[in-house]
Amino acid sequence: MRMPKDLDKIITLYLYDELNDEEKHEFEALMQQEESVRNRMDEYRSLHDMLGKKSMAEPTGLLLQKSRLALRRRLQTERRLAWQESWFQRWVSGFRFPALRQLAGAVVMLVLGVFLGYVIPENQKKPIDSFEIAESGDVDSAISNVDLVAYEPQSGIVTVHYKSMQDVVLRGSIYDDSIRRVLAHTIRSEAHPGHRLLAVRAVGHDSFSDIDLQQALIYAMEHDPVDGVRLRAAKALKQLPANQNVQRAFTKVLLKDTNSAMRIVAVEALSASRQEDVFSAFQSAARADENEFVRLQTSRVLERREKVNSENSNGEIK
Amino acid sequence: MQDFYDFEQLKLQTIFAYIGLTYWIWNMTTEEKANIEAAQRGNFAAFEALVRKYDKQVMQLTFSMVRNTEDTEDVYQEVFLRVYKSLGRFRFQSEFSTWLYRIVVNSCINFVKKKKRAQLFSLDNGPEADSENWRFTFADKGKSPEEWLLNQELSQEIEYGLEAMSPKQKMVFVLRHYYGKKLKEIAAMMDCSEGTIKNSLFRATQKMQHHLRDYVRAGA
Repeated sequence: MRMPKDLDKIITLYLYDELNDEEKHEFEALMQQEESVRNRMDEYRSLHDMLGKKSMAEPTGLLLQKSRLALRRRLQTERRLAWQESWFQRWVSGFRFPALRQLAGAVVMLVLGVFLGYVIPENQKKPIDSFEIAESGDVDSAISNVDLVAYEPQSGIVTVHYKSMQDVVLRGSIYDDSIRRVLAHTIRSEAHPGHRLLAVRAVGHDSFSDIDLQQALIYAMEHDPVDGVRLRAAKALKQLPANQNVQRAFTKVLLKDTNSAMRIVAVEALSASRQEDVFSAFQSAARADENEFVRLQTSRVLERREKVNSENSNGEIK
Repeated sequence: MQDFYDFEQLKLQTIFAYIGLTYWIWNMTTEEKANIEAAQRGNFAAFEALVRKYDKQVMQLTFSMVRNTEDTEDVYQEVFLRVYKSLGRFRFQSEFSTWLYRIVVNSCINFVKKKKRAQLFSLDNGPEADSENWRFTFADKGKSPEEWLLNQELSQEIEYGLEAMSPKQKMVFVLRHYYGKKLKEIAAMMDCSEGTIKNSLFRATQKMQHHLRDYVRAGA
């Protein structure tokens, strides 16, 4: 009989009873015939016997118990997580039809959008005192009054001094300082009477105690060449709480302004005043103002004042 | 007459023993099936019953592969966690034990490969180092101190022989030699052909024989 090449492998499989019947018979026949095969077989059998002496390590009861406990804890955590996950999936899959799911999604988004729309603009509202430059013509600024042109030949540097004018649109609250400064400047210096009138109207819409604006209104009331602007400024000043500057300005208007409407407003504004200067101005107007209505009004104020004075003096005698 | 009676009695005893054994196997099988089905429905107690039935073997097999108690506990947990998660997909097309061992085999081999890659696997940390958690038994305890010492040496050489094997060879060897699993079954567990498993067993035996050659020659 021919010696197989993979004899060791066949012996291994024979010892583990993994040869089929035919292979087994064939190998047993070979073993009977060949002594070398029997010797080899003995070596392997000896190996098997030795391996059989050692059994596998057995875990102690304590180790098993510890491992089971740790496993139980971990599985409980897993179960809790799985339950939470499945709860969400159940909730989502509760909307059986895709259209319903989309509708629910749309409703959620709508509610979220309304909520954000309500919350975000509330937070982003600007304080009332702020202003913004809505437009600025940086590029198209006009250059004027160029002077101090200096040229240094060595370095090639030129120094120029000029005025740059550019279009700016300022938008902001009437209480903002920048806006007030611009309005005061407009009332005093703007060439266009319409702009001055609008500035006075803007200032006159609210009562406030900004000295600069008050001065600008007084200036407009006394010096503006346009009657309409002066009259609007006078009406604006009449709304303010009385103070010496304003009363002095109205006294001046009563005595010097050529427009009778201005003088009438001045009479109205000063009627409550008890100052001597004002009293004298009233006496003068009552005597010599060219407008009959002004004379009549001033006379009435003087009469009323005399009446009050006499009542007061009678009360003191009694 | 007496002989006839004894023969009849023996026959009856054999029949009853056979019936008893069949009933026991049937009972075990149906109990296991009931537990699996209950665990699939989410019954945690049923799952724990399955764990209690198999976990000792799982731990032994894992320990023989990873040779370290701490790692054994990690792999043990990983195995049963995977079983828990994928039990719903078990369709009774194979034995539950085969399906379970497949998970153990894959987990152990992956773990050992990963650990070897990380070069953390050390021979110094052998199973003998942890006698608090493991019982190491030797069939022939030895009558004299010399024999006892010889057995200890032999045990150590077997450990080295196992260590010299690749993870796959070691798994095949352990399953065949210590668990008595048939190569066909091991092939199904490891998702390989039977021929590949035969080769692995042969190479593993060769390595073991090489380590124990002196003892083998003396014994033969």
